[in-house]
Amino acid sequence: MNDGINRLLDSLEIVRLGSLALGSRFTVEGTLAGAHRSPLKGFSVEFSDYRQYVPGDDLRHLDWRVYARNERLYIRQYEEECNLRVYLLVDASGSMAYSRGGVSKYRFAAKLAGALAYVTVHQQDSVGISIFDAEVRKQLPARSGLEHLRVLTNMLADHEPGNATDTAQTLHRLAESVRRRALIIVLSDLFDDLERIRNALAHFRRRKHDVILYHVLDRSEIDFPFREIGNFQDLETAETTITNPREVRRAYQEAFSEFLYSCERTCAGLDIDYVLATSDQPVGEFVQRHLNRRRRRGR
Amino acid sequence: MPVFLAPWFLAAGLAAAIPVAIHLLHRRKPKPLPFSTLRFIREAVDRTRRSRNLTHILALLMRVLILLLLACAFARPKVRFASWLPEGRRTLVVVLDDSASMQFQDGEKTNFEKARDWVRQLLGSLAESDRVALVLAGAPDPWVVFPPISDHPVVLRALDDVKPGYGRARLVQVLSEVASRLGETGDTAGVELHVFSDFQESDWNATEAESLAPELGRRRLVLFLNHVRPMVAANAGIVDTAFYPPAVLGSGTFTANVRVHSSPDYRGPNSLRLFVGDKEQARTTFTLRPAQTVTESVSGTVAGEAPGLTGRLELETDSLAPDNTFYFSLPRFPGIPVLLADGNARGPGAGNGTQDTLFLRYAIQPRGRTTTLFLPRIVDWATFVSSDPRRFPVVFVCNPPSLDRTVAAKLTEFVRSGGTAVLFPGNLGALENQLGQLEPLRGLKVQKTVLDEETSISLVRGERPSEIEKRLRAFLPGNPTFVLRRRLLFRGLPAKAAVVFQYTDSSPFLFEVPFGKGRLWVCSVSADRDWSDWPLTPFFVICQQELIKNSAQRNLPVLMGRVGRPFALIWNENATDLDFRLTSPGGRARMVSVTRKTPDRPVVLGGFYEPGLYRLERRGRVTTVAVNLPPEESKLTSVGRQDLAFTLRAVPVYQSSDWHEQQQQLVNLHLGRPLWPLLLALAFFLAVTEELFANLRSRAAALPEALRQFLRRGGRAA
Repeated sequence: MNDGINRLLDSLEIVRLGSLALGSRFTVEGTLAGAHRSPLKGFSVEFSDYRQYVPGDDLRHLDWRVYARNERLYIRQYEEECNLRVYLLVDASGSMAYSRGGVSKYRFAAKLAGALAYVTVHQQDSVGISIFDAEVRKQLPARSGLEHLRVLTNMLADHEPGNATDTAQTLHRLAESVRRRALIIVLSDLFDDLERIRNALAHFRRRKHDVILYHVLDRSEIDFPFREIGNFQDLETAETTITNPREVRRAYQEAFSEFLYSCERTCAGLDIDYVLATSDQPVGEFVQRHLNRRRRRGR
Repeated sequence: MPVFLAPWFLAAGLAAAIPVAIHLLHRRKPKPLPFSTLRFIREAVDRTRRSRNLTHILALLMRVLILLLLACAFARPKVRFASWLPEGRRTLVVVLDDSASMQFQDGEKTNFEKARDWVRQLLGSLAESDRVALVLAGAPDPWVVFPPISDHPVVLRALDDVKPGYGRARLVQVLSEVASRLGETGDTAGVELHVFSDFQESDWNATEAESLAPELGRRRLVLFLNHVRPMVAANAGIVDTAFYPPAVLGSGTFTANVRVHSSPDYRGPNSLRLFVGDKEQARTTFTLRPAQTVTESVSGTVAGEAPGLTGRLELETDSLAPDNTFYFSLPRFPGIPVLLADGNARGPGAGNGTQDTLFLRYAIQPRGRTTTLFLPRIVDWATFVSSDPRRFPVVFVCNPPSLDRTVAAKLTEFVRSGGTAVLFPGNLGALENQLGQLEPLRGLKVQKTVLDEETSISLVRGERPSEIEKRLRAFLPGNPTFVLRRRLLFRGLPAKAAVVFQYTDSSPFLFEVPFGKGRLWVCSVSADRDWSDWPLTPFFVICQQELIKNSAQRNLPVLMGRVGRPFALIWNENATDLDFRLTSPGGRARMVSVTRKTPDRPVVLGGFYEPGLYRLERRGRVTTVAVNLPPEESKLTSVGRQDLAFTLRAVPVYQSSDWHEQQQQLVNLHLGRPLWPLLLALAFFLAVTEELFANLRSRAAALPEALRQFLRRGGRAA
């Protein structure tokens, strides 16, 4: 019986994810010792700096040689390595329910989020999730462990997209809620006011979070391959418009490509890792390709 | 104005309102198609609003036009483009080629019969009021029915009576005359000239036709060129024949060199037979390749005492019969009379001559035997001076004692009237001193040279060799060599003089001066052995005989002519107005009256319209004249349609190969051309254009290259 990650990914894809690693490009703040660099100084293996002794410090870390030379008490400090907190922010608005015969954008985003959660848990780090549309619909704090992964993936698989979207506002709220430096992974089609989204993403960056933005799109949204005259209906607002796709295709493609270029430029300006993810790709291979590329560039 | 054969289909043009109604009334609302966001669709719609509106209007217009065109096409419109062509009564001039080549038979009927059937069909299609004329292009009197008449039965009877001729057709000349005569009778606009011919190259003068075309166009005549020609024209025919000798002397042999031409479609063996009288004397077989001209020779003999030699040459029968037979008539003489004037002979027995003419007589009659070929007569000087030499074609003057004014005038007149005089020097010295007295030799410088001792000399080729030298070289290869003792040196030869060999110092050995109708020859050595050993050589014998033959041939009467061409006959009679009884090969006799300016001019005869042997009689003298086809008629090479059209580009020309093709052309010309194929093609073209136009935007289905690269990199800019 399928449960947890198996509801989203098949066994071959899970095997493919086993060898992957997900990390932040910057230092992160974790509550547990781990494999990731921390901005905090502690007592670990890697020497970092000296500071003056204050009462209460562990005398084991006193540097007696310094004391012998200048009769002052100094404590040896070491760089702390902590675990990684990954927050998955999954857009579940009505537009994410769109598909043209294949996997819906939400389903693809869910599989992508599940794969990233699996990689995170597999490397003993914490992963949290927020599923949102105009507001946060479901949320789990960042934790580690397989049980947490099972709950998280079931939540993703069970959720049905709908409602209008207010991505920017929701991201602002989530940015406020994540206090410690973490890796924020946003999965959305970004069909909102791009300037507001830019501000929301900048909010994350001001809080020193590393951000990856998976721009989830259906291939037909880019190609606009329709031939017959259609009464197109907006999945979020239910508004309709009748047009001959053959007559407007070129103009549509131009407008959409301008949108894509703007998204890419916005992320590049905020030092956000922008990844265009079309829903016609196999998730396992896509995640593997992206994480490997990210590792080659330095996490 | 177009004429609609099915006008009720025009009502279908109302269907053109359907697209407009659909466009205005029908607002189809398709079922909703869920899409992620309308944001970009609306942006695209706003961007393309103006161009889409324009596209819709153009597409609507094209659809309306397509329906209108279809309705018009089904109404079967016809448009008469020849608006200049007068309506009502038509006038036709039928020009029928009756040349020999129209007798070519491919199947059951000859080309002429096929053309006649075609004309009957054309006449059968006419209205009662239409006028018709009938003209033959090769007959002596071409105007069979002219001017055009409405009595069609009369034209049909005249058509039944005409027969193909044996001469050439004068197509362009006849067309020119027809146009001229029509112009005299009234308005020529729209008159149809129907030419029925095989359009042989020899019958169609392209240069004249190109000159005539603007005149026909100016008179607004319509020219129909109706090609009556076989698909395959396999024919071999006798083009020409040369006889050697050109006249038969007594009893002997003769050779006919026959030129045979094959048409481009002919290949295979053939045979040539020689008939003298009605008796076959010789036959030869040969093989012909396509479009080849070969020369075949057959020899015959003649005996008896008939005044002339007649006969025919025949090829094997093929599709064109008239050119398989070539009739000939050759003059026949008992011998060529030659006068030898001996300057030394005196008194009784002078008729045997002296040493001056001895060698000449031996050369003319080898070994002293009397032959029928040459009939020499030797006279002494006094007899020569007092007699008239004009019945002899050739006079040899040996060692003349004097060339005073009387003798010089006599010789000059003899040469002027067509005789040949040959002058030899001797010991009397007349030539070296008085040669300049002769009018043909004015300005000639003569000097006698005596060699100290006998010298063997070789003659070389003359700088201006005569025809005789070329013939001598054919008989005697190499340079003639003999012993020389004395000679005459000639300087300042007349401009027209031709030389027979010359000495190594460029002085001529023997030279010829044409004067009047005759020739004057002067030799640098004597005809006896006093001056040289030349009379002992074969060169001497052959030279004298060729001189005599050459002279005799120049005055031979020609007894062969061609159909349709005038014929010049040498008739020796002291009269200028002559009446002949001319009997045709078919046995029909008629009287022919001829007038010539002077008695020494030939008689010009005409009226030879079929090949064969014609009998010419006057005052008991009978001559047979052979008449053959014009040589061009056996070369079955036709002018192509494109060449004809190009030549006559200044006039409306319609060409056809049979009655059905011509009938369609006539219908198109008079009733108009159907317009519906054009309309259907236009509607189809518009439909294709409309479809392409409507799909113009959708053809840009592929993503822009920059966007494809962007997607391939997973959203990373280049």
